[in-house]
Amino acid sequence: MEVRTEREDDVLVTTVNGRIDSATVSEFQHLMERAITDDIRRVIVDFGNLSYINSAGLRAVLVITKNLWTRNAKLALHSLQPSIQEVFSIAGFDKIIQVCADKAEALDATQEK
Amino acid sequence: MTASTTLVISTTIEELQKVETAVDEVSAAEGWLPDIEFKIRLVLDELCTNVVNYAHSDNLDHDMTVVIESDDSEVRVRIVDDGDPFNPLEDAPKPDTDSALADRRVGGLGIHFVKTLVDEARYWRDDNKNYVALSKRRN
Repeated sequence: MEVRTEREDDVLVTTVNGRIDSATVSEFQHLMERAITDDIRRVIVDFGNLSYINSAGLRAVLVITKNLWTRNAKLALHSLQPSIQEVFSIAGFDKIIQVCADKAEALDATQEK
Repeated sequence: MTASTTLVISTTIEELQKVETAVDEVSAAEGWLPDIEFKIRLVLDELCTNVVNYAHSDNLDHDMTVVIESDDSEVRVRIVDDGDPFNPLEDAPKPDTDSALADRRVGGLGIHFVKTLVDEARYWRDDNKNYVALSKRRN
C-alpha cells in the first residue's frame, strides 16, 4: 500500500495504490491524517489503483471523512474500481461520502458553494 | 474444471496471508473473473478476521480450517473454528447503512458484506465447533 500526496493551495490531492486491509489500514490512516493539516479545506482521493479494501479500511475512510466534516472541510473519492464501488454502496457509504467518476468531478464536488 | 484446497492455520492475523495465497491459487487455476475473486477474498477476510479477533475467550493457541472449492458453476467456502458458539449470520451487530455522516456507526459491516455478496450462507454448530458454509455462483 502506498499513499502519495500533493498540495495544491488548500486542496490535498492523494493517490492510494495497492490494498487497504487489516495489515495496512493503520498506515493508511496515519499517512492520510499526517497529510491533512489544519489548513486543508478539500481532500481528493484517487482510488483508481486501489485493488482491495475490507471493512477495516472502510472504517478508516469513515473516520477520516468525519474528522474533516467536524471542521467543515470536504472529501471526495474518485475512479473506484467496480467491485470497490459496489462495496461502498453495500455499506451505504455512497450516501455520506462523495464518490466521483474522475478527479475533475471530485474537485467540482468539493468546491465551496 | 474443479479445484479444492484445505488450509489449517493458527488463529493469528499473520496466518491470514495463507488464505490470501490460497484464493490467488484457486482463482488462477479456475480462471475466476476479477469481481468473483474480489468478493471471495473479501468474505473470507471478514469471516476469518472475526474468528481470529473474537472467537476465543481464552488466550490459548487455536487452529481454524478454511476450505475453498470451485467448479465451473460456483465457488464454495467453508470455515471451521473451535471458538465460543457464535453464529455470525444471526448474532453479529446489525450494520448502520443509513445514518448521516455525524451519527454513522461502523460495526457489523464485514458480516453485512458476507450476507450481501454470497448466494447462500449457512451456519451450524457440531462437535463444539462453529461451521460457516457459503456458496456463490460464478456467472
